[in-house]
Amino acid sequence: MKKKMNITGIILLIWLIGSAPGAKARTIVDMAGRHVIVPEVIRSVYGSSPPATNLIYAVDPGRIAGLNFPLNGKDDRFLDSRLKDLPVAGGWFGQGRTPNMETLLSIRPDIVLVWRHTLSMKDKDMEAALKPLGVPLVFIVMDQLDDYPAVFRFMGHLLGDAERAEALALYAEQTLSRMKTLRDSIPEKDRVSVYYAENNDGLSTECTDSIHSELIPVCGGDNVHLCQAASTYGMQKISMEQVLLYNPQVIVTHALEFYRHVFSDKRWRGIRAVNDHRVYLIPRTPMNWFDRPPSFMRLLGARWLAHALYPRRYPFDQDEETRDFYSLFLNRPLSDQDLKDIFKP
Amino acid sequence: MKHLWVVILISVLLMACALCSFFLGRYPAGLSDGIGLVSWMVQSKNPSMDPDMRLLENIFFNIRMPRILGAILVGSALSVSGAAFQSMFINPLVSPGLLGVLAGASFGAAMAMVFFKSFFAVQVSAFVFGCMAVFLSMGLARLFKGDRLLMLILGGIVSGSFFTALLSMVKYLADPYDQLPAIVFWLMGGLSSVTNQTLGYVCVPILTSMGILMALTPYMNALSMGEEEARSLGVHVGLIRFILIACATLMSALTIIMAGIIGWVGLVVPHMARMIVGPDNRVLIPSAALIGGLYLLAMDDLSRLVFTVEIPLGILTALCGIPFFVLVLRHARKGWG
Repeated sequence: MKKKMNITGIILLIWLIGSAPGAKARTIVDMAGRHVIVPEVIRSVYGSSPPATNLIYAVDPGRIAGLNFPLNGKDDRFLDSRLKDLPVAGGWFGQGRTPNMETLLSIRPDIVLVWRHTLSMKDKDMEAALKPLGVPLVFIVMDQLDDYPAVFRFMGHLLGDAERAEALALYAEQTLSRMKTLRDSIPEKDRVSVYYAENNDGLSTECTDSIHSELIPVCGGDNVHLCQAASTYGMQKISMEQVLLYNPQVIVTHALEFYRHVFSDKRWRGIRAVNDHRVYLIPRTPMNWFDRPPSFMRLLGARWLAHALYPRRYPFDQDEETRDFYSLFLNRPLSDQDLKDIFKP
Repeated sequence: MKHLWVVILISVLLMACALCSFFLGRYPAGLSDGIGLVSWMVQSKNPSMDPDMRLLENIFFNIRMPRILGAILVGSALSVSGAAFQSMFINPLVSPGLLGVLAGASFGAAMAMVFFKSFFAVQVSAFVFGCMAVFLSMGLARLFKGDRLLMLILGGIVSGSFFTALLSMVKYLADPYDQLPAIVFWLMGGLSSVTNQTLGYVCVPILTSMGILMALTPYMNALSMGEEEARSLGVHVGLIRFILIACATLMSALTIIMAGIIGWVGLVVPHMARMIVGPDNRVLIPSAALIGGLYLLAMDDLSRLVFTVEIPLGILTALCGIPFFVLVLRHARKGWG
């Protein structure tokens, strides 16, 4: 293992000398506990999957080396204009879009930032594929919302921008502590039951312990679909009768098509959430607030959902808080029209 | 005469299975609830008066009924078009997707999911591209001289591969967090999104096509003996073939609208039927319709009953169909047709 490390170090050194004369290197310990030699100043970072890339975006959009998938066009105006000029390098996530090694070589990132998948073989595949590149891999851990303060501080240390990272970490801590206070204040019997509807028919969902539905328990809700997630991908199919049986008090969804027809569809009649008009469409501009991909947007998403579940216990000035969050994390002041677009179904 | 009894027996089985399915489900609403609801309605009371009755009405008539009818309709449509294709192409390995209808419809649906988003657009686009793929393969077959059937099969392979490649391209371009999962799930197939409304506008063309195919069964018998023999019997081979392909395509494309891609039914069920009633299309086609409905209904019951999550229907039909198909292949060596 040690020998391997040395060889990697030597290759890296040769590469460094060849590419950036005079650049110094330093050793850091990444979040998986590995010792990694990285350049003293990191100018460009390639995130191996969208959650990692989003994290770089929050700290400094200027240092993203390449995108994982193309911008979708409609939300571009919320994002840094420099992103438009970046090459689409692909990534290790979902299906397809495996990166082209030559594209990666041509964008020459200083480091590759990898969200460690504890549950899959992906890390091994990726490490093997990236080895010839000679770029150090830095692992981050953000499996839970609780990991965000640490991951922001780690990024600040890595990219040499501790001040900004600290501000983001403090926001994350504030969200987490507010959610804890909220959770502790709710008696067991008052907890709201929540169904997370995915897919256009609203009949796919996530298990209780899935990362995809993490915000529900964080905000003090009870996910009705009690089970253990069998895969990191999720999206379990469920029958209409099972949903009727669960009879949730609240439904959250990111599927626009489902949200549009749920109140007129006869089959969904009779479910408490539908009768009480407590079906909430998750904002997705420019990134999803709740899931897919799980990102730092969930720090705002948690506050929004907490208010949706417990309007009285958790007051939330939607416009104000959204403005604050977007200007802090995305560096994007919002106009009234922007706010309308974000919350428009 | 013996076959008539078999057909009657299968019909009775199908009806019994449909009736049972009404009272099976994840929601505990069984026979007694059903009787309760019917007696409530017989007393000419409106179910929307009472919340419990409204829930029961919803479960029986909006959730279970369209699924049961949908399963029967899709199963029989796929089996009939499979059986018709098998006797027309004189080949036991042929399924309704031979001429590219499934590939075309998959591409059409995926494209609509990326560009239009509404469910209706997805249905229309799936139907249009399914038919287009079949036209393409028929057009390709006309371009070349040679054995008509062989050319049709080759045309189908070309058109199917073409649309499969286009589908992969759409998947590649789709948004990986929003559109791609929707496409993948749709392609797996399932009856959970069948509604009474969809059934309403799909059942007339399906039943009409099925009727036409059944009326043409004597010609199918002639065709399955070979082109020359059919001609010598005075059959207008080209025309009959065109009608068969048109009806079978229409039916398969409409099943895709309702339930996505459901594999194996169109391949395996005609063989089951053939093992039971023999190769005479006049009996085979109606039996295939009944057995197909029964098969898919049973599979769908499994899919919605076994776990709290639904098992995608395409997986079940394949898993249960494959052992049977192996059996059929063994049988086939003894002589087919």
